[in-house]
Amino acid sequence: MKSRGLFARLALVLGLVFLYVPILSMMVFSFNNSRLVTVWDAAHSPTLKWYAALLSNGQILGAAWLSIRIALISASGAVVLGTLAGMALARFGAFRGRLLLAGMTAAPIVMPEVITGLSLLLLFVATEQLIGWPKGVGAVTITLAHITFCMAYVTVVVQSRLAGFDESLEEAAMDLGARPLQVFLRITLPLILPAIGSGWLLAFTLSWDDLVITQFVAGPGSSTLPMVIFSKVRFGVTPDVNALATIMVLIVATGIAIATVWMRYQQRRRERDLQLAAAANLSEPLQS
Amino acid sequence: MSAILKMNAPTTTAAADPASAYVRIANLTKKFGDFVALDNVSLDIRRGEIFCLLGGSGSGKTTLLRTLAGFESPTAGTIHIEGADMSAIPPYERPVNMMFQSYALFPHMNVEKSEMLDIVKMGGFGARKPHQLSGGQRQRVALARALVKRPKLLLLDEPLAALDKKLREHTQFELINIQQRLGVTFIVVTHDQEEAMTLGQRLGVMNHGRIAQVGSPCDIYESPATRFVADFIGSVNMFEGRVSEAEPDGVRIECGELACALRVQRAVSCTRGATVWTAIRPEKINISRQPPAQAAGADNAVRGTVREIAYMGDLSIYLVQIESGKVMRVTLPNTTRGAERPIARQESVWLSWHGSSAVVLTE
Repeated sequence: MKSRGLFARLALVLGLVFLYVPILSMMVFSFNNSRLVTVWDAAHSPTLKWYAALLSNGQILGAAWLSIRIALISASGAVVLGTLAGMALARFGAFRGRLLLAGMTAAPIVMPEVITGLSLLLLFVATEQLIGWPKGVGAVTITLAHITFCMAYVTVVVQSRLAGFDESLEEAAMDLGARPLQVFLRITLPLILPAIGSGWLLAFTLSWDDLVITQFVAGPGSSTLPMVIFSKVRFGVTPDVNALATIMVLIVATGIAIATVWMRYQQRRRERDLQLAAAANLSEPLQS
Repeated sequence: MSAILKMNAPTTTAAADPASAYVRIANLTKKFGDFVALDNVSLDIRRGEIFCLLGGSGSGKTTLLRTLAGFESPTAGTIHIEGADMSAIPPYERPVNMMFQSYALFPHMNVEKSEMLDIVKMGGFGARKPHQLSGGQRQRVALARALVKRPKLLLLDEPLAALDKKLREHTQFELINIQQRLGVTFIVVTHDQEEAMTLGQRLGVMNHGRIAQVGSPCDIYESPATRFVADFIGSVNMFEGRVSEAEPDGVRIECGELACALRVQRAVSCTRGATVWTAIRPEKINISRQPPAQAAGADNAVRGTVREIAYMGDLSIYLVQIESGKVMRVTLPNTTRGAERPIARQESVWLSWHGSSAVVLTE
């Protein structure tokens, strides 16, 4: 570390400060007794009263529950559609309309969210007039909108996993007598499962904290958590929002920590196996 | 190095009647866009033989193998296995299995128990996953997996390419052994001519999507049909010349690149005045300080100067520049340890060969 020099260490420290000081200060202020977010009430702090207030706040709890449900359904739907689109793009060669499909699935990634949100709203209004569904805007339209833009990210993740996938594995399975559906279920799916899993997590987080698109397609009584937080902040930040945010940060941090430890463990086990295999290779007897 | 290792037992089960070919490939063409990967290939494979498809990259050998397995559908032509047309049969219903160059072992599955593991001497490894195996072990498991369904025909795509040299040589003979025991017909794709000659009872040399020649390793090495085959298999000294005398038992060829005339004592179908190419293998040339018995000015003997010598252990390669300036390649086995006065660089020598050693090629 010494050889890295002063500049590198300074950059590291400043980077960490910029990234984490806002979050840390928010966490500290969630234990503040004062009603005023920016004034530290040293006499009566720390306190858990904002956490207690949070638990009795039906609006926030309801919004959180709605957000979780929408995120679960959206992530699952996006994974199914995104995997199918990824398979089509990576496996079916140069079919008619391939470029169009590739462009359409990537569009929500590059399109400004305002435009995506507006166009989805116009679509929902039009379909309601034409076929009478969906009835008004609300949780259903939010979920449909989230599936649409989350699917783009899942497609990218799955497609890149399939691109680095040895196709002879699928051919070998077919060669050994597996029909195309069996090949998909027993070979392709288990091998791209990590990509599908990370695609699902990505979709879940994107849906969980989306605000802009959700604003367009939400209706009365269907406020998601980001919408509630945003509307509260517009009337001034209240300490219970700090408490809520702290809980969310802790949940995310715990998830990341578990994932990191698990990946380290897998990596180490794999390295050990490789070393054992290499040792076996050296001592492999040349029987005749 | 290029000596012919022909240790296989003769094919006792091979059908002598070509009408009963086990696998019949007829006028097979495969195009990828404008690229012609297979160009009107016709080939018969006999029951129980090891047939090696040999060729450089892009010669179409792998495409032919994949078409046999059913992974590619031919643009034109047919494949019959035991008389059954394979055109409409998907890969999962063909009586064919394939051993992949990458082995294609399923990384998320165990090796699993199977009596085939004993045949490849991997009996105790059933619980392992592919990444827990060494390269040689993976190769064996891939072979066992390809044999589990007892296919009539096994396709092997560069089966030994990923092994190191020692293990590869050993495994070649083991592969022959397994094939003999199980009686499965093998079609092996390889770019390695030594491997093809060791494994194959017959070889098919491929070039630009066509079969250039089919024959036993000995036929292909000693009697190549074309300049491509002569040059592709082993190394060769090639001379362009004009036929000056054509007799039933041989020809005489005048050659500008050579100070002497070439007399070839083989039946050659060519007419006087025709342009032909004469191929002489490096190991069939004698090198001596003294003029050979047929003396100066005679056929099949030239003078030259040794330019380079490469000592390979079992043999030495001499690059000899003859009077016309052309460099000829000569190999001599190092039969004794420390020859008395070895031929040195820049020494003036005679090169000579027997009239039956050269091959005359018309295309």
